Amino acid sequence: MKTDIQKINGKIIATLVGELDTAAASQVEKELQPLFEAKGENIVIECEGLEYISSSGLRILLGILKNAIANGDSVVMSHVNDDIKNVFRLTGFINLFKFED
Amino acid sequence: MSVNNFNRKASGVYVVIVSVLLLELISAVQFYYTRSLLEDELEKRVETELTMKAIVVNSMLRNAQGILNDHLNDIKRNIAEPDSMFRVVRSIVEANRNLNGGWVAFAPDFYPQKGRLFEPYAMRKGDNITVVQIASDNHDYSTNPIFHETAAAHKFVWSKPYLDKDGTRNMITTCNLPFYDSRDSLQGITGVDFSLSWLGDTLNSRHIYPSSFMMLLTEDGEVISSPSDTIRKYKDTKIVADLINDSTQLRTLSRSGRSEIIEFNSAVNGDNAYIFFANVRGDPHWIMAVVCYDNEVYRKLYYMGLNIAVLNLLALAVMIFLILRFVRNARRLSEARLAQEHVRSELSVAHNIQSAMIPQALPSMDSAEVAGLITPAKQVGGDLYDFFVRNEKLFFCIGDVSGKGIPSALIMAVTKSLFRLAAERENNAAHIMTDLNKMACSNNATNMFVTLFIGVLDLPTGHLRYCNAGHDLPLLCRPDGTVTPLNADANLPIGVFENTEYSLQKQLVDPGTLIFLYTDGLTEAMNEQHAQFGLHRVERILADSASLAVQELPGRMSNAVHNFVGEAEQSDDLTMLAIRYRGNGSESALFTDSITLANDVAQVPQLSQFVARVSERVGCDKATSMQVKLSVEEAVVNCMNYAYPAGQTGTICINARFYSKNLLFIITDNGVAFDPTEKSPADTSLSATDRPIGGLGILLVSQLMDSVNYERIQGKNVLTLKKIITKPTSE
Repeated sequence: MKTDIQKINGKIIATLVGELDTAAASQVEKELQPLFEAKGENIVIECEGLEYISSSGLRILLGILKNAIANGDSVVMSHVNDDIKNVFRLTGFINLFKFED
Repeated sequence: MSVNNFNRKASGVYVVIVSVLLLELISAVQFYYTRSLLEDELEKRVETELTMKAIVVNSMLRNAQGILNDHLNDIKRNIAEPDSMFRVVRSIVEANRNLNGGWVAFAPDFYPQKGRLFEPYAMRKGDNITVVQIASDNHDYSTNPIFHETAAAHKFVWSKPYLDKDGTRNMITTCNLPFYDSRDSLQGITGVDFSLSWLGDTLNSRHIYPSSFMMLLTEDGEVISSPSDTIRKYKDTKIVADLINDSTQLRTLSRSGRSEIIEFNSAVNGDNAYIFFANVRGDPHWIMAVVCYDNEVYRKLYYMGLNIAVLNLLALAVMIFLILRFVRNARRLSEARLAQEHVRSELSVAHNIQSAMIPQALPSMDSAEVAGLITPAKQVGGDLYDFFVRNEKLFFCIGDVSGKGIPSALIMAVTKSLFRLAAERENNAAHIMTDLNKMACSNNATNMFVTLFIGVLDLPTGHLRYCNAGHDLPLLCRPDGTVTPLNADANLPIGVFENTEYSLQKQLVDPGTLIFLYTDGLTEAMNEQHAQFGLHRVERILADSASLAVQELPGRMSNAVHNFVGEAEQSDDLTMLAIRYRGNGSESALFTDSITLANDVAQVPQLSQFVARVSERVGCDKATSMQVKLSVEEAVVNCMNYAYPAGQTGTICINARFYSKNLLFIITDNGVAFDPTEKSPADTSLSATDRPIGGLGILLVSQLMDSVNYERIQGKNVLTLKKIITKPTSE
């Protein structure tokens, strides 16, 4: 599981690649710490390389979203594949996040 | 309905009206026919009476004339001897008792030796007859107009009736006969006094009607004789006299010899009265009248008319009563029939609804077969059973609501719905029972209660957990044919006490075992001799049915009951539910694999590799593989997090089994009892801010897998995930 964070044009773009399972979750949560601290910057989470996500991964995303909403910022999920989108659908997360392709 | 009713009512009214008209027509015809008969009868009677009485009167008059004629020779023979005339007049009066007096009045100066006037006169006073010379200056008969009239007449002359001034003050008339010498010179006049009151009594000696009477009048309308017995008659005689006196026409008519009729109103009571009158033939021209009163002539008719009217009224009243009763009964009957049909159709609908509420059989299931049957005693019943499968567990119940019919059916429907509701999330039969009891008690205005048995059969393992609330004990029928009742606590039926505690009991059911549940309508079914079907018969049939398909068992049992009961009426609902547990033993797994992990999330990659290996063996597509991987990870991580207290090391064993289409993951740990399926899953409708962190994992598992089943077996938590592989990729 790899993560990457870049700031472009006032946006924070976080790229997730690999399988975000329970074992990887705590490491990923640490690496994405800047997203929890972001303020005044909209967040884009690039998921083109994301192959798998478990509920612990969803919890991280929910934490990021709650922080962004509290600051009036937005979180956009980008290039989420259908299988993972189905997980978002089953959990109702599909209504919480914005998606773009 | 309203139209029919109207027609029926209207036809009733028509019948009454037509009947009234017919009856009245018949009565009228009868009345007038009878009236004309009575009129004919009256005329005949009056005619007869008049003829008879005319003959009587005539004969009397002729008799008086005859007497005078007889004595005329005697007078002529002895005309030279004036004193012999005293003998002659006595002889005249003696000739007839009805003669009051008789005399010979000689022409003036006929006997010079006797003075100018000579009139010997015999007078009847009682039985004696006295004879005197009555003529005097005071009684100068030669000045009496009738003397001259008679003298000129050369025949009998009857005087007008007058009141006898001297004697009996009776109404009398005189008959005068003149006699002459050879030169036709008047010698004298002989005559008789004729008592008319006597005549009146004779005429009225008999009455054709009680009040009718007869009168004799001169042709001038002067009353010669009339009855004097009552005031009424006296008053009416005056009217009759006046009528005849006033009417020359009547007098003319009376001369025709036929009787004539005129009507007048009685002076007494205004009744219609009739005068029949006719001429007494001969001289004098007297008129005879019969007076009859309408009410008497037609009294019979009135009585008859009254009787007919009363009878008609009675007949009419009876007919109206009958028609009304007929109409009313017909209406009641049709109303009752409609109401009955209404109730019947509603009951039929209710029956269909109730039947639809009860599942007949389970769809294809490898591990268990279920079949049930309810035969309500009435169209709807108070018995219930239900079964459904959730998370590899067969939930079932059977119950009997106290009472029968519609109230019981309502409670039955509510109880069944509540069972579904309570068992939706709850695996513990005792908890379900407690919930049901609380709900049943909370609104139990009718104090109805339900005996209920709830069972939860874990299909992978055969563990039966059950709770009984006063219901008949289910029977366990093993493959070898032995039948034993399930050991169950009695407990109170639900709906009795809100705080009743219900005990949960367990039993391991071997594959092939039949669980047979029933209501007391089965064992207590009665035949005509009031013998009960009994538990022993049920047990014998079960023992004989060890190899029978479950679907056929209820029918077989039901037939046995019907044969036993015969013609006797079914008194209670007949309900049974049969479950045969087959277990998974019948099918061997195509492959099994297992892995044991420590309770550390760092082990998840190894789990993922294990699941990927299994998925590849089974031939899952990519999406299914990911769903299986996610579900197993979530379930196992859940165990890692919660099965063991923090810091305590433990193991989690994951066993994968693949049957022809079912992929099972059986996750076992030795930790504290923990049923993840009882946790309520996350609410997916909340906003991001309100969304809690937990509950996502088990939500994903339950949604991605076909069933999730938890069992606590021998101190272990056993969680079984099942995924049905529909499209294997490998051929």
